[in-house]
Amino acid sequence: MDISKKNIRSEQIKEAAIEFSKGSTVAFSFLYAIFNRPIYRFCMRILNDEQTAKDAFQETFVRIYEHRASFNGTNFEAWLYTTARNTCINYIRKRKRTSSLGELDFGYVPTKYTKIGIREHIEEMLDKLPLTLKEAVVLRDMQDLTYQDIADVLGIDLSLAKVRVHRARLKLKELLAPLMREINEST
Amino acid sequence: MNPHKLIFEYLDGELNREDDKALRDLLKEDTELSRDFQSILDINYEIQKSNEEYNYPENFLDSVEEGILARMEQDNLLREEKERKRKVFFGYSIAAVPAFILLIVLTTLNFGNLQVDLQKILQNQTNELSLVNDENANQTNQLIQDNSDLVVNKTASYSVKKSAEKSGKNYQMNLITESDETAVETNFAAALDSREFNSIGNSSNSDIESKSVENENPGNNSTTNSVSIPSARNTSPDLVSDSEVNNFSKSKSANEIRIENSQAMILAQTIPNVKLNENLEKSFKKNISDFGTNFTTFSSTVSHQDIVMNSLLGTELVTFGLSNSHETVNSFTQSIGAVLDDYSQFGLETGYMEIRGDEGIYNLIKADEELNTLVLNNSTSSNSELTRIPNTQEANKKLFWAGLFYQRELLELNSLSLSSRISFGASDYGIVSSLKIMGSYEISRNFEFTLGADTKIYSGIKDLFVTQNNLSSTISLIYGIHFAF
Repeated sequence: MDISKKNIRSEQIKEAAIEFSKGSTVAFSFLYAIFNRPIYRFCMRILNDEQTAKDAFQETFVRIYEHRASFNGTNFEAWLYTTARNTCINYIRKRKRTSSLGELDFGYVPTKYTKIGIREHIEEMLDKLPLTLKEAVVLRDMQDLTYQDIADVLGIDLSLAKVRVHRARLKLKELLAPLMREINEST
Repeated sequence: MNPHKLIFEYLDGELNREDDKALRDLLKEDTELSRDFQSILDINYEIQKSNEEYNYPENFLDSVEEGILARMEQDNLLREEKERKRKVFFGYSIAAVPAFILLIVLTTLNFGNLQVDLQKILQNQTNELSLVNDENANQTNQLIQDNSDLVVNKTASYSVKKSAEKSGKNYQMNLITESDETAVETNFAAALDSREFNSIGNSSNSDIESKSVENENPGNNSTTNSVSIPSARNTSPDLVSDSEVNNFSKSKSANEIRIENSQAMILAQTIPNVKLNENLEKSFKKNISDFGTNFTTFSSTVSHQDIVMNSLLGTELVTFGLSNSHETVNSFTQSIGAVLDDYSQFGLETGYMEIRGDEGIYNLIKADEELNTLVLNNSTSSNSELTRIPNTQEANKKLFWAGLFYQRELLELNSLSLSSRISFGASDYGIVSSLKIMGSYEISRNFEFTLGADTKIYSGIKDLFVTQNNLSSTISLIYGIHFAF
């Protein structure tokens, strides 16, 4: 079931989160229906690996269940994304520890963009952003979080959250410029 | 303003009317910027579209939800069960605490009256008290008065009985002494607290009365005298005054004077703070032989320590009855108690038990693993495995508890004594009750070694281990040390 967050009032989410923190399975199902897809997308975009993203996704929801008592009742979405982000960062660290030199990216190799779908290009370019910019732009443009929520999730000031999103967008535009030119020329 | 900032604000829907106009003007003027703007819009559009058309692993997402819901339901059941047990436990506690207190009170009342068999005391040169009730004391008195053999045999008996008739803190002491020629009963009635018995000399309310009673035994020429010292320590709490001695000397026969001396002696021996004046002391020394040399051995008052501490270690001997899936590895008990009398203690006891048994765990199985290649992991790790299968593993758990105890000495022989202790308390998981039988060897007046057995019954074991019974029981060997001060 896919329930758009836009159709749900924040008060309903807050009430459900409070009930969930008390152990309500109904509340959990309600929240899970709203957030499972965005969180999965978030994990996928941050980690860019399906298996690791699945692991991080599972761990995120297990964690929020196990630590439900620590939820302060204010912003469930930010709390959830914070947990997901921390989980993803843990996986990135693990991956860095276990990856060999041969697997490292030695540089950008131009490809014939149009042979691949534009979305795959976007995902690929996203992965080339520094993590701080990547997570900011993912949360804003892909997860549709407010700047304040992004600031809460990343633990930074509101103004810094805006700066990071703007920088990420510019960087992404630069990385995607050849593709966009090619598209424009072909049309 | 930075044109790209305007573009991003436009994307975020945060552009006001003025900035909107400014952006439009800039886009008209700058074709490069216009291209950037178009690219950014395209990228943003693709991102939004990619969200909508994202291919989600539906089965995986559903299985995650099911797994967490299953765990939540199980945890909720466990929590409800625990809550129910707590309610039952508190219900038991509310009923058990008054019952326990009542038990202690009843037991104390049963042994509330004290009698000292002086002969035994003299022979053993000890300061121990033996407890009998009022009826026994009266029977003893009567027996001594009626039986000439006892009189001839120089028996001496000394009893202190709690006066049931008198209210408040009044107690009566009866002294019966016999020599070859005399049998003497001395009655003391003093308004004092039983625990202040040893400091009768400090009591300003002392009221010691006297009376003479003819011995009812016609075959016996002994005389039973009751002597009192009225207000003996009103003016000088530590001194039996000359006037008192003189009064008695003038009013009573020599026989009675001797009785006075015996009374004074008893006072002096029983009450450390009382000093005899010279006349009385001389008279006492002169007549002491009439009471037998054993009297001199009654050299100190009956006294005992007020606070006792006991540290006990335990190791399991046998698990019986209610236990089947676990055992007590070892235990430790620390208690501190107040002495009710020379035979009874009451106080607080705390302890812990280390219990070995099978605890419930979950083995985690990766959701997308093939069934024939299941990977089992420990449930305690915070990994992302999903499917959880109940299992057990052996583990040691600690159970802490605290409660009240009542200890009673059953038997004493020289430095050895046998005691029983009943304890009742609560742990984090339920009720703990304990019955200990302990033998003690007295190293010194303040220090004893203890060895014995401890039978414990405790509840709440279901919260710790996978077991059918919530109650468990064990018998342990216990050993430890005992301090008194």
